[in-house]
Amino acid sequence: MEGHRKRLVVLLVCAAALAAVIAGTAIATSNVKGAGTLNIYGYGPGDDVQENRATYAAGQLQGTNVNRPAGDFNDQVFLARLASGDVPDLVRMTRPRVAQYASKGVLRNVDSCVGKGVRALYRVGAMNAMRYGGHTYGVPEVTNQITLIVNQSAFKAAGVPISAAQTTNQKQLLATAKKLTKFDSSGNVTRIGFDPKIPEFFPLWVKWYGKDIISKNGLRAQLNTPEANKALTFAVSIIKAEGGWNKFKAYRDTFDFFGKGNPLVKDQIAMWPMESFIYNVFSNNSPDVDLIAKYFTNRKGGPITMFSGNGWVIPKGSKNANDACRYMKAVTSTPAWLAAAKKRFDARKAAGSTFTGLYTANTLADKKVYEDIYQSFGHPQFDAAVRTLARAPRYGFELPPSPGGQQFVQAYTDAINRVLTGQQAVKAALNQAQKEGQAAINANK
Amino acid sequence: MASVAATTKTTAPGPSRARRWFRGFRERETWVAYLFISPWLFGFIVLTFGPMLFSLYYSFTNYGLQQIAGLEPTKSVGFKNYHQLITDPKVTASLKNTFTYTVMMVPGRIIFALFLAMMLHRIGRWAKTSGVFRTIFYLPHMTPPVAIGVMLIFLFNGRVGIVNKGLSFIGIQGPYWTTDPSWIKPSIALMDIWSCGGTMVILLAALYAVPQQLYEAAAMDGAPGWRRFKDITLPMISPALFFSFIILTLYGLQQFAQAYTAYFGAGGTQPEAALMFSVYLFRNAFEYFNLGFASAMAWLLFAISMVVTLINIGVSRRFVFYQGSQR
Repeated sequence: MEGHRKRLVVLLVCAAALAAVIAGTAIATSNVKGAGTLNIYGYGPGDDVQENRATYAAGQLQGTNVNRPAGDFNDQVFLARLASGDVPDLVRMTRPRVAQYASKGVLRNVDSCVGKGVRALYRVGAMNAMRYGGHTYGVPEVTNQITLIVNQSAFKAAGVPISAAQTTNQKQLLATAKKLTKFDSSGNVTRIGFDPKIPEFFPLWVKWYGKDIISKNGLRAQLNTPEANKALTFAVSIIKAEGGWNKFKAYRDTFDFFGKGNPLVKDQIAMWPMESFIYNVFSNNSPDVDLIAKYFTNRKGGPITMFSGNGWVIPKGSKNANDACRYMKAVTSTPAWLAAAKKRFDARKAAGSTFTGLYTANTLADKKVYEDIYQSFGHPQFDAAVRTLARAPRYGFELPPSPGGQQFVQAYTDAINRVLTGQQAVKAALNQAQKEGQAAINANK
Repeated sequence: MASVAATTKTTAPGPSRARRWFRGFRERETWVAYLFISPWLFGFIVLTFGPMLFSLYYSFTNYGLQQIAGLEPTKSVGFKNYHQLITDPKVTASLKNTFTYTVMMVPGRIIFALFLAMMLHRIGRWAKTSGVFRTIFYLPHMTPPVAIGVMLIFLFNGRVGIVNKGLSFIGIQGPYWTTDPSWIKPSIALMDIWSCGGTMVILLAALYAVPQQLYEAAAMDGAPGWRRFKDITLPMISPALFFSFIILTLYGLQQFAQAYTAYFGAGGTQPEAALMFSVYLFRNAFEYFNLGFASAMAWLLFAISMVVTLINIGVSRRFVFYQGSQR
């Protein structure tokens, strides 16, 4: 029995030691978050541009310890941190989330820190996405503008003139898509003529008619307007003409967009709208591809592009809101982008690789990166693409910020999926989306 | 027999169960036993039972983003969240998806696992190849569900997927598994059937436990293989089959990882046909921030799981044979 008692005592001592270690670690962790520390969430270690901008911004906050734990923004983690009182001082999140959080009062308005003068530094569309109910909740980071990528080789092979690579004339676009689409003897698609990129780019197709899928104040869904109906009908008609959703999607799922055997190299697609980041990927992996970048144009022939990207916000409960605001302005400032662009340019040049510019939400930074840093790498097709990309943001728009947030996006995504899979007609699907989208807004405003 | 019953009836009642439980604490061994199970007890109370009670409470409240952030107090909303379970069409749709998937996955997985287990059993426990095949069959079970979700999109691609390539060898043109709403749930179920290693091991152990004399006696009586399987194997392994059935049914009702990773993660097409109940619950909680409603959904799932399990237990009394049981 004596032995049992000894074992029991050892067990209890071990448990106590373990508890002490856990408690000690917790105390040590909490010490990092004392005064003079800026705790950032959603901006963990990333690529060279991210790191160089972070270094620049940290340098602007002398005496402040900047804490950037690994990982991008995740709602679940953020909620857990809010619930536990471990509120980050500064957060980087995707812009559609900003209004969703702002409408619930979780974010601190930064009107005093980001005044009219500061707001003017950023692209209007992107900046609007950071505002809700007449207040500013942060600053935007990048724009990811959409342009039309044209696979020139495919056009040549199909005997279609490059002038047919346009989106203004929808009838002609449908005919071009049909001509460029290739099928094998079994009826399988071997080249997609034109990918309208729905549901993701549905707002862009509605904008083609000059309309938005949500009102400017983000409180009224406009998903079943005649323009939305026409836009979806047209986009779906293209996919139908190219073999239908099943064949189209199954083939597109085989694409390796980020590898050396990308769909341009493999001639798997002839034309599609795409965000700006892909040019950097293509230029690195396949600098000799025969591509042309064109504007996505509306019914009148005017260029339009849709923005997306991250934004910086300060949650209520931030213990270091002053430094947080200084940091978010610094990390999106012209010098931060220029420093990052210069370093990337030098590194790519030294490696004999390509540099296709940086496309930010900061208007001046974009201009300076293009004019002062960008240099041709001897690939004229990418030079031309960069010229187009540099001009595109002036035609940019972004979905107005809405408290409906993800639920609103889900409403039209589901509707388009139902149409693509033949489960519902366009009108019925968009009517349902309108109800669901408006309900999401009403429930969250 | 009657006199024994009469005697039992007239015997004075012993101490109540609670009293006997308390009396146990007079013994040192009871304390030691509880000390040893205390880590599990602590984990269960803090990480399972506690959160369950909290979620029950939240299911009657407006718990959401403002309440999480401490900006507004949590208010009771009565049965509003439970009423929403009836009125929200996506709850019905996601339940339907989940049931359909479970009905396909559970029998499929048990039959396939039993088939593999019987093959391994036939090879024999000590055959050199037995261990190799056991490992090969068990490997998919060790694949993380998230990886299975990612693989699903590639393996079941209607155009170049290995599944359709295999079907084409036998002259069948496979469907568009990942885009056609009618085939999305079967594809998720098939991936689960593929990773049936855990069930196979349970059934294999049960097969080894069947006394060989029973087969020998049946063989002497001239019983064909099918009769031996039906009248000896199945009844003798019925407890293991029943256990697998219950566990897999609960697993099926909670399907999340594969469906979410394949269809609702980054770049996912988010088809409604893949919207499982747990996926919709997750979205309500962590994407739409309706945590009160999500809690009510969790309790609905718990209630359904309980009812299904109770029905299974009830039905099992007729079909499950326990050795040594008086029934």
